[in-house]
Amino acid sequence: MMFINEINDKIGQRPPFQMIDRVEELIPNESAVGIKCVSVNEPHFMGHFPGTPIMPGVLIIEACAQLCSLVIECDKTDDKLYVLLKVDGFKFVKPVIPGDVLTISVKKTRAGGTIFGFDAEVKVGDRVHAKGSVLFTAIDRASVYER
Amino acid sequence: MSEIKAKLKDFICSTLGVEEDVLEYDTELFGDGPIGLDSVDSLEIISFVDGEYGVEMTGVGKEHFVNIDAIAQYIDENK
Repeated sequence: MMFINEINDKIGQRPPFQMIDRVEELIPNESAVGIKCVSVNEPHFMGHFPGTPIMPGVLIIEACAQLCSLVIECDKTDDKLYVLLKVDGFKFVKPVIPGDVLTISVKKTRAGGTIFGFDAEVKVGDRVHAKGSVLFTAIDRASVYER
Repeated sequence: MSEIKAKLKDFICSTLGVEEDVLEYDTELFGDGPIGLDSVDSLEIISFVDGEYGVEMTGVGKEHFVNIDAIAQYIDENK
């Protein structure tokens, strides 16, 4: 079990853009199960949508991506940054609404070169609400702002 | 080397979404040609080659990615 203080030690995202509240299971470089508690207080619900708050699909993908980043073990001292490279075949089967507790499972499907690939599944209770695949790659931090 | 080429073609078609009937071993993969792969696709090819053959192609010159023939030749010479 990993609580929010330990998650904060491992990822750089912070509120209101922190999408994993707790990690239930973690096998480094292999898989993880994480929890995201969806609250009506989250700022995007003001506009998405007024009167009918639904968690944006892109933020569900971001939650999956943040959990994947906890799975990838990397040397914190190096100059690399792991970033989302590709999102494949994501389906949003059922809307995610305030009060839902997302159980997010990610499993590494491939690694090679500078790429890590994961399959992700998002459930509320026993029902799948979203699923798809994400790819990450390592880039030089110094190159991020090169134009 | 024909097996390497067949595996590369299978990967490019199944994972990168290229139609099988437009992809020959000497078809240009990147740029404005009919296939039009991009830099993200090249990272996926590098990942596939590393995972399948243990050949590291990160930083390798563009000439080795021109087509399936060129990639297969690089793999064959470096595996």
